[in-house]
Amino acid sequence: MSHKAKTQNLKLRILNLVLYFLLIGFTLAVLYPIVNVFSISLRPGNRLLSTSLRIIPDGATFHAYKELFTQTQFLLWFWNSSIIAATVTVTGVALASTAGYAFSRFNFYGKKSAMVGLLVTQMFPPTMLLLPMYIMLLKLHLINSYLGIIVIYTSTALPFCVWQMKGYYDTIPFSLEESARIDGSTRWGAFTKIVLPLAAPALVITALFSFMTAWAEYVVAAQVLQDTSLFTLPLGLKQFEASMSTQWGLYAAGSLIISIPAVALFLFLSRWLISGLTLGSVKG
Amino acid sequence: MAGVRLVNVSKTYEGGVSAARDINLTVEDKEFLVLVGPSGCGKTTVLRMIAGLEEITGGELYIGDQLMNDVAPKDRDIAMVFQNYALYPHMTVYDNMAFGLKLRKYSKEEIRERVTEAAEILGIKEYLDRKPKALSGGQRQRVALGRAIVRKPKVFLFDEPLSNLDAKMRVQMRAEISKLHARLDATMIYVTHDQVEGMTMGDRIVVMKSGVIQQVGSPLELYNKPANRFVAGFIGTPAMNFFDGRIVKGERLYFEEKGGGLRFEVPAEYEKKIGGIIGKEIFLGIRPEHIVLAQTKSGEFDASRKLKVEISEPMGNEVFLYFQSGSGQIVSRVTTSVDPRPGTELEMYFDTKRAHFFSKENEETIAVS
Repeated sequence: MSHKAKTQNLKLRILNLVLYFLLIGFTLAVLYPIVNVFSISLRPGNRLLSTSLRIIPDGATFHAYKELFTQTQFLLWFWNSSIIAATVTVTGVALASTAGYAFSRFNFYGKKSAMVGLLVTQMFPPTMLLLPMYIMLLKLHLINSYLGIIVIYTSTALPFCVWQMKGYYDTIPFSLEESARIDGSTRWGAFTKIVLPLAAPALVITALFSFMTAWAEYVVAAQVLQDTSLFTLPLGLKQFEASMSTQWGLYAAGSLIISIPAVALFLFLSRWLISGLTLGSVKG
Repeated sequence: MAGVRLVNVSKTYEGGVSAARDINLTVEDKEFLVLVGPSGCGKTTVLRMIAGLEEITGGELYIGDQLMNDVAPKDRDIAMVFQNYALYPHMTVYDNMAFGLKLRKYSKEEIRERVTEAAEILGIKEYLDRKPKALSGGQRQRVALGRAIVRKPKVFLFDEPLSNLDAKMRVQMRAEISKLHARLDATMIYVTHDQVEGMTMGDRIVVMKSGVIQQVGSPLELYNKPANRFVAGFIGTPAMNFFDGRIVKGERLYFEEKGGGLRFEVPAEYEKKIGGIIGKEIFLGIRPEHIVLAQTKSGEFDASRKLKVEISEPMGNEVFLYFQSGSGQIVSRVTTSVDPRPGTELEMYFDTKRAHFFSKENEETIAVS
């Protein structure tokens, strides 16, 4: 190996080393709070703070997890959150995929203003919309109901989802659908058999976004859902917090379990998050 | 198989933009008809109206004897090959070709049989399991052709299918499509902006401009007897030379170029047709191959002129010579091994017996050899 090649090789190795150090640093920064929460969930009693640096604390116990499932309404909240998030996700995907298609493919009166209108709704922070939405739900008798919270979550998630679906459809050549229609598809058939499979990455983003909008939301839920039997996970967790003492063990155990479905969904859907699906269809 | 008939078909977009006007056209059963014209002339619109991808705003369209105006594309029994191939990227070549058959509920065996047969004809059998992105442009276009032929439709529609291929592949595919037509004995309507494709492939050619049909005829008819100045200029490479001038009467009839350029006797056989337009402004058209070097056909023509070569383009078996003249550029196509240098003065002869006379008012042909 020549001297020059050797220096280059060394440079590359140093660069890799620095890169790995950085990546390890980021990983630790992400993992630390999770590990900390996990550690708290294992501590006996309700200790939030500890002087020990051990991840598995002295006298570690799964008591908090056991209590969570047996002594609290955690399963009910989990069920409530699941129902709400699933409905919001399915509705979000169904509405955004079709509305986005209409915005992308059809010309209709008011199309431009509708697109801008959707964008404008994203300019207001949710807390600002809380009061008017509360009043609306009250008048519709939807306070304290699944439907009420589902409507709010869906409408919060939709504008972004419609925009990004529309943007993705715009990149799918129109001639693919035309070809399918000549091959024997109806317009709907061309949409479901050709366009939707190609729009998989956008559908995944829409699904994840809708799910996350509903799964871990607290502020709106706290206003709309008042009956404890309708509580979602964030509302339920807040129950462990009392004015005098907070049940940190339960809190931590609950938090960890809540994050599992979100991570699982992301891992499951990420396989469709690939770019270049339409490569090779048409001459670019 | 079936013919296609368009009766007064028009297409007007919202806002009043007219893409096709009063198209009357009968495509015979098993005919290879080519629609040519410059971009924006409405040829693709006409094809898309036949396919059902574009709504017909006026007139009637028949495929066979059936009125098709309001029939969905899938029910017209047509197949279309797109300029950009339009292959389904998430499906294999096999599935791309089988897609239409599956939708029409053919049995699995029948589908396999038809796809394999088409793949064999097109030489893409070894690619059946590949996705389109793993194919070259020529192979993709073959798959697109395969997808059309497996269905055995009444009518094939081609929308500039070769425009995205390189020159060599284009010539090859051109021949293959012609062979396919002979083999399938099918009605084919082919849109292109490339008049060479039209000339080489079409039984008949339709020349369009600004949404209006200019002329329908066999390739040679269009070449030899163009209906107007546009067709004359569009068909043929290099394009026909046009001279702006008028007919004057002396001892006999003469054509006189504006600004005192070219002047020659109108051949006797034209005199009768030209007689009525003495004094009027006209365009005279002469094809490049009818302007020749003096030494090749010396004495045969009575109109000659000394011209200075501006550019010379040797093509191997022939040379295109460009000269500057009063009416603009003159191009001549000469079969010679001589390659005159720019600036050389040559005596060029004009074969006036092969000239075309066009009215300046409406650019229609007045007289042609």
